[in-house]
Amino acid sequence: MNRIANRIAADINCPAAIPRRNGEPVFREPWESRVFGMAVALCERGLYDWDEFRERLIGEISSADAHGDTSTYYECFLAALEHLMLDKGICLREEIDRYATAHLPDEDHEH
Amino acid sequence: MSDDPINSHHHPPVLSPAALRAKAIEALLLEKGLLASDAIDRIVEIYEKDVGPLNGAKVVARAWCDPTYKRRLLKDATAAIAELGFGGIQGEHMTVVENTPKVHNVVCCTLCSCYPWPVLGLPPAWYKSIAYRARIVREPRVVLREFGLDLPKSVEVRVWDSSAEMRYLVLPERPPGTAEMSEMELASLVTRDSMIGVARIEAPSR
Repeated sequence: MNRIANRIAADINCPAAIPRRNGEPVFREPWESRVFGMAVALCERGLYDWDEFRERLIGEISSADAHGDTSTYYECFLAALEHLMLDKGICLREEIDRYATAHLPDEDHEH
Repeated sequence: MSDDPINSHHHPPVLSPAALRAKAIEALLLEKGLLASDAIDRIVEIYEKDVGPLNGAKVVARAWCDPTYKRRLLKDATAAIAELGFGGIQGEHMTVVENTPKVHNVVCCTLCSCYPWPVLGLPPAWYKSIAYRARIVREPRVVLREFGLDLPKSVEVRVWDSSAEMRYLVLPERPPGTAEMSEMELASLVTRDSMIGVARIEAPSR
């Protein structure tokens, strides 16, 4: 875990450097692997073509690049998945919001 | 993976906004019956454990050992790779580019992260970084030097930008001193970085 934390720290401190390390874990955090798995599984179920997902991913990455924002690759991946699901009518934004609220820790409900 | 033994009996861990969003989407998809949790587990497991650069290494070793396979690979990479049983998402429209003493090939995806999953697994973090995507096209020799690959001026560097229409795999040069090695031994020499083109394969020390 320390290795992962160190690598993230290195990326943040030195954005122009190309972090390279053989044998690094594919995913940094568990949610990244879930998002990846969902995107592939929905494609396998025929709900969209991979290229449709890819177009949205390119859009998210280029807008993050252009705004110099620090979204990670899988944050872009997540945004692409959510937008594609909405575009395809797989679900509504309000439905996702409702689930996200349900998962918030108690103290956050008061805000 | 969601059963965290440390946190399960305490307050729920504070999730990052992205983690929370991902969890919400997963819960919603499960409720709608569009996905089963084990379907996601299975895909993650496959890409974490089964699909990786060893597949590509087998393709490279076969090409080194079998000249007719190599010809097929350079002519129609998707079909030749499928002969070894590898294919699927991000494995279509493959092209293999061959390194020679005069030409060194290196692969990137400037737009996002197109990468031949079936033969290389998922891309490493640096491949997805804006620094690599932008700089490998602009100053490939400098970037390659940072990877420890100092190419003489006499070697031409070709940068291949992957896309949905074309995904590239580098066929590295077979290192000297390997004439006696079996195909399986050769495969063990082939690294992921050499198939992206940011490294060469060193002669084995034995």
